[in-house]
Amino acid sequence: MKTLNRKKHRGSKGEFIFYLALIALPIIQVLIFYFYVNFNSIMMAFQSYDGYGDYVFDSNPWANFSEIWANMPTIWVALKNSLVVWIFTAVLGTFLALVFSYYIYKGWILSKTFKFFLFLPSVLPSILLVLVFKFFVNEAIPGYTEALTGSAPEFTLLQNSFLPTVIFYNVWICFGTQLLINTGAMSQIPPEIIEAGKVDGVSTIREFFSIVLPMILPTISTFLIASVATIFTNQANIYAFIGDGAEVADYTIGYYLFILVESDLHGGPDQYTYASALGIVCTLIAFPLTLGVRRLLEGKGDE
Amino acid sequence: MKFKKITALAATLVIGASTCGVFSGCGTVVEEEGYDPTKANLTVATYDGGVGEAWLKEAAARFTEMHKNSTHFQEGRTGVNIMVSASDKYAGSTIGEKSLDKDVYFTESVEYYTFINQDKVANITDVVKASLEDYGEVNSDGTPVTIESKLDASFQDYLTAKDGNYYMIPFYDGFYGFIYDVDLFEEQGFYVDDNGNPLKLKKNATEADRKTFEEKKSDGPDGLPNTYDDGLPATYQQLIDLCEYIAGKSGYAPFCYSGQYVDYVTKAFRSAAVDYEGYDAFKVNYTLTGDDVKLVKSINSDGSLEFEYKDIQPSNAYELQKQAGKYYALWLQEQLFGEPKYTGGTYNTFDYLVAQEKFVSSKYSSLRYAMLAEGVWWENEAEKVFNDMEEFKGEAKGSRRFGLLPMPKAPGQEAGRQTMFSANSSFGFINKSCENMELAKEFMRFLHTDSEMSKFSASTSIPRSLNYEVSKEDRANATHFGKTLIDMRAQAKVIYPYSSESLVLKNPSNFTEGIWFSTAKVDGRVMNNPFTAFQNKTATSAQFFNGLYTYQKDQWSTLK
Repeated sequence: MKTLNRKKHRGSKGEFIFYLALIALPIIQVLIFYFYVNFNSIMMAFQSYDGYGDYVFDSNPWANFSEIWANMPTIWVALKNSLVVWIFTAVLGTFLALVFSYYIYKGWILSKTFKFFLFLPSVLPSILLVLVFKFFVNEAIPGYTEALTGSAPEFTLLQNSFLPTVIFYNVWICFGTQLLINTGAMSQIPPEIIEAGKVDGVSTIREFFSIVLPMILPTISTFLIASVATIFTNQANIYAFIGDGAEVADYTIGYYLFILVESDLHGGPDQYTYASALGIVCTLIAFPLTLGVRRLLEGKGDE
Repeated sequence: MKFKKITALAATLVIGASTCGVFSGCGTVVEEEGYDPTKANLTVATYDGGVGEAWLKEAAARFTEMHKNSTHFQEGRTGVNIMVSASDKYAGSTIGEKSLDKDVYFTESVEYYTFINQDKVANITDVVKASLEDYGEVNSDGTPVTIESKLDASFQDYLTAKDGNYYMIPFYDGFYGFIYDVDLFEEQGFYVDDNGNPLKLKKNATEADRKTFEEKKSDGPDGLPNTYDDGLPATYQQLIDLCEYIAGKSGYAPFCYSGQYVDYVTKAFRSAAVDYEGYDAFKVNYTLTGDDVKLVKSINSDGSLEFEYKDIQPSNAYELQKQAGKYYALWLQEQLFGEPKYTGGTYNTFDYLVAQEKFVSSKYSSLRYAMLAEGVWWENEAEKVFNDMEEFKGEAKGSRRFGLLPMPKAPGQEAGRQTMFSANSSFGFINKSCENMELAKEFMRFLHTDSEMSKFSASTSIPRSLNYEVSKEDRANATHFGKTLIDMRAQAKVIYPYSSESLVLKNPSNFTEGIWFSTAKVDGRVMNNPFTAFQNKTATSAQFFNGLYTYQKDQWSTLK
């Protein structure tokens, strides 16, 4: 009995060490990159840059928050663009992804080919996709235009319609993952329900809206809730398109925050404190908004 | 069971090692490839960007030769061994986030005080203040020459503002401007004579033809005959006329530029603003203190300006946005880039490498560019293009002639020497954890002798950000572009965007080029690039100029 216990103890100690080694990195990562970073960000919102590489608590702890007020013209534009990006990618994009998913789910003509091509962008690095898309917009479209009309356009779409073009790219790019998850969710719908609908004579549109959508609503809700939570951090791939050279008129809040910290041209170490304050304000807006949307969608789901 | 234990142990070791690996990362000199156990070793890293690594390898070879019999750097070892590494990973923004694993660094995009605050950089005050007499450098009055004495006053103030010590030495000058194709200018008559008429060099010109050609050239922006800028546009109007003339010729376009990095164009025009204001007046943009600073009171309907004079202090330094040079530069930018007629009919989307390639290779295309908006390091970045040209067209880099266009003068501005503006935050420094500090410091001292900096200019075609003369022998080894730059730099005064003014130190982002020179509020809308504002017709140069002032006035109270 004694021998058995010792053996058991030795085994669990070894397992414990293995367990420790296994979780050490994730725990350290969470401690540093979540708790420390967020704690530091919150502290920074009440500090200012001392000019010599350090941050000190300001005599006016709300100075960075008043700077938000002074920058409202930029923030309003970025906020408006963030909402437009959200409406197109989260609302319209999700709806279109559902339509395509349904097409594939039904196994209609060329559905497998569509599935392959629509999912393909998801497995390629985003920077590569941006480069390919930019090449298409900057070289191919003007080339075709020149071939058709005899003269190249003065501007490319990325020059005179930057944000709409980037939004189009984001809608296109967001299909892949949603497609995979939506078709997965749709395939879980019991075939008897679909069959019963057919017996009752429901049309395809009716089947989509009255049977399929309600059945996969939890999946759609997850997408929408996640998109609301990231509404202020989504930089809509603008940095990948244009680096830190975007016009203020094309800023999203996510992009604005990013270049405040990252850009040599428009940012600097003194902007970290202002970016932190703006980040807190955005969190204060996004947090209840996300909970509200969750409650709304869960309520719909219960119905 | 035994197998299970071994597997568990191996898995634990792998996971543990990967965890530890995250926190390690620094090697030692001994682990370096090329380490010589018989010599004192030093590792030197440089950012593999605009100036490349050839200059450093050449300098290291000379230093090694000089100290081949030295025994004092490390006990029991004779001679020195310098191991040079060049990589993109040595950019200041990248190494600032990591532990340093080399002894000496030359890099760019450096936040000087952020680095110092991280306690990774050695105090090199003794190096900067040490006499260079042992290298034969003594002033004519017998006083010792030091690295400090070669630094611009603004650098001295900035670098020592925290505690009186030096931790880094400025690296190279980052001028932006327009690079022109000298061969094309000669072939197609893009130079002008005293009357502003196109001046062409005959095909198969003899020495006598060339002499006549040179004599006929106008005096250029400096107003002096027989200097580097002869025959080039002396005024804004002459530059506009030249662009009109080039654009009017079938198969030619005045400007190539990077549509993806249009701030290069804006920065090139910023050089015009600096040149208009001159050293003392423009310097106020960083000292924020000046008496009777000339400012624009209003812009008349015919484009002429009314002036006023104000004393500038940190409390009202936003008034500096009314400096006339800023208006004239914006006006010129609007004239030349407000329409695509001078860029080949379209606004391109090239990145800067593609722009360089298009400019160089346009000699063999249906549309040849006369000028390129770029930084002075462009020749090194375009090395691959030149290599390709040599391989496919048999035309070596040295056989093409380019020059840096001196900024022409604005209305009312007198001809004279250039004032230039250098901004690229590049520095050299020693790792605080360097194992052979004596050797590292001696190498730094060596690199900052006039002789070595002169050789740097010859090798890279770029000036170091210190005051020194380039020898005739070294100048002869530079490319044609390097020669024009060396000549221009020798005559010019250079402004560095640094000072010890508290408001500037505490709010560095407000004084970056992207904000201080390019962000405006027009009709309540914030715009951060005049290029796109003019391209999209969302603001005129006058509106953008007034907007610079409005934006800064609104922001000023938020500065810390």
